[in-house]
Amino acid sequence: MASCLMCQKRLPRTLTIREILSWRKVTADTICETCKAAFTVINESKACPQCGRNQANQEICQDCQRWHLMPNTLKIKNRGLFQYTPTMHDYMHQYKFNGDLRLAKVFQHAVQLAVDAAQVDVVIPVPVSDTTFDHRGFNQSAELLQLIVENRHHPVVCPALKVVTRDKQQQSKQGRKDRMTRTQPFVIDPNYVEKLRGNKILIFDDVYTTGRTLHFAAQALQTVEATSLIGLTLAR
Amino acid sequence: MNEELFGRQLTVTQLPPTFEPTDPRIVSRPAMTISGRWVRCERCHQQLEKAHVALPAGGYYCPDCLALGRITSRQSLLTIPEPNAFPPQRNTLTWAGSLTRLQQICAQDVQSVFVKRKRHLLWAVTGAGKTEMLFLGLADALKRGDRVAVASPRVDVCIELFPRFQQAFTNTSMVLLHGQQTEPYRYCQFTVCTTHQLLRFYHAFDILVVDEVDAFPFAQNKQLMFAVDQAIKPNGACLYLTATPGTELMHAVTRRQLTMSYLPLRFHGHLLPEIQCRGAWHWREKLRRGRLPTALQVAITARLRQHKRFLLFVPHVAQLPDVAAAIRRFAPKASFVTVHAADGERVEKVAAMRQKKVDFLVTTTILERGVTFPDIDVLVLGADDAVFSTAALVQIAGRAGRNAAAPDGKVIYWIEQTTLTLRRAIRQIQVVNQKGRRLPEWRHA
Repeated sequence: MASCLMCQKRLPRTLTIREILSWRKVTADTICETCKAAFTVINESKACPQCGRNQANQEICQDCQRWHLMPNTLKIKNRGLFQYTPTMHDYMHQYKFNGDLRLAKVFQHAVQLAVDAAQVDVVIPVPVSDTTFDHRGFNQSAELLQLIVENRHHPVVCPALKVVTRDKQQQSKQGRKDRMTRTQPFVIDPNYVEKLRGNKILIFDDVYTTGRTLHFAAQALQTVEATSLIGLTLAR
Repeated sequence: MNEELFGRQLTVTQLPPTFEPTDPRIVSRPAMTISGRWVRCERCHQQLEKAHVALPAGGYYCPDCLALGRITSRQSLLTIPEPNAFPPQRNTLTWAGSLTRLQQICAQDVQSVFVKRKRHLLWAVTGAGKTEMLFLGLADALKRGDRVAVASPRVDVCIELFPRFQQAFTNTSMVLLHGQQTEPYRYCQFTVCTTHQLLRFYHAFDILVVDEVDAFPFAQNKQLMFAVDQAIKPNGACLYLTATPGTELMHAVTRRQLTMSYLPLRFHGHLLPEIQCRGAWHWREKLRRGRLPTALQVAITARLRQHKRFLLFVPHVAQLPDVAAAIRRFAPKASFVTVHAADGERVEKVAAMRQKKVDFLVTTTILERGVTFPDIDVLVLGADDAVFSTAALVQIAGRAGRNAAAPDGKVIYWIEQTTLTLRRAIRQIQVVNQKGRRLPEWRHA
């Protein structure tokens, strides 16, 4: 019997008649109902239309208004799937910093559904620096897209972005001010420029905090002249 | 120099900043061994399928001991063979208590096991005074300059044991290690830790005592069994302590891989209270309607009237609020609290029971062991539930009658059907009592 990836509680799985008789692959749960309920889904009708932050109304939030005042920034629309609650924080800690790669499975399905709903041609995961990749052993955003890579031909997952400047410090350890004064860390891989031209592009990241990362990624992709450019993050 | 690595196994990233990497004594071995489809973690010995644990950046990782810091196949485990670099001591034992004759026999067994470096099981009933029986042997070992550890699967047990050992061996350097500990590791002659922490040791201890071997999560956990074997020196001694040995330990005894001494009487010379079973038909349905079985209701009101304090165990945390509500319905004035594992005020609530501020506790298996209330009865609702193992049922029964002044508490289990685990628990208590009756120390009530 499988056990919940988060609380190690046993997960009893009873097959329904429909599952037995259908030819479809049986998908096993990765976490238990209690753990599932601990995450808070963001309802699109109650979120900032620009950055996907959870709020009471559908007006553009203060954060985004500040972005609009800044020069040379693109207006990129982002959708957040879950609120960045303490549960999500613990999950991210265990997944990214303790390096528990199994936890990627928890949200792969939710991410797949959201990407399908966005109806794009190309999905670009936000990259991590080489040192982080080497130390952590994986890119947390790319791993969450694994189901799309495995099962589908459309949309295509495309690692078109690379990190140039090496971060001296992890972003999650910096305050808002430090994060906002960073310089562009991403470049586009020249091999992909032609392939991406005229496509609908979705940038995928694990967490949206200030929006700095997503805006840098969007700026780096400006040269490919995409027909549309949107963002999707697991947590907001 | 580099004391933090004596008898430990750590990766480079886990070492303290003061670490001196050029030390010639350092022995390094790969953190994982790779063979065919499989990789094996050298720290916890888990065999893993490559496809499940491969990292995109290359290499493999072990998800099974991840809580102690992730290990990957690209890393090495560093260790410095244990040098036993302790200052010599003359007065090791600073404990002034005395042992009963039966305790003394067991203590001498323990002492000789430690000298002969053997594996041994000490089976002593709940409330027999196991910790005190160790003192003699441990004092002897510390005098010889041996490195000693006492490990338990339960954090609570470790936290409770530590001050008792500190008092008994005031001159010995001592450290307490567990997952919630914030204090950094120190190299000490005497270590008290959880069994999980043993995974960080490699051939470190001359003497290792494992307390409560039958407790979750140690029982039937191959990883922790391996941790014990790896933490002991190849020629070290290992002593298992328990009140309720499981079938595997008893098999090891019959196969003569393990020697055993047992103590079937409590320190006050009385027998263990035996389990009485009562029927509680459809209690789950009744509970859903907000009621308890009538017989249990009667038992609770009678005890409240007589001011007899008791513990009421239920199988699951989720049932606690329902049971509490049901009790309030028929006994609105009763003062009681519910306690479970994730309860933030667990320690305070248990203390309130001990100070007689409340009449009873409603709880789950979390209070099955390690807690002592002087004069109580034990009631269990749904003792036939699968969460109660044989060991748990015997331990729960062992909460009653621990005081010399009140040695015969009542133990009543409410069940819907009898189960093998329950029958084994009843049998185990009967067997121990049978042995106890043959001893000259047995006192009739």
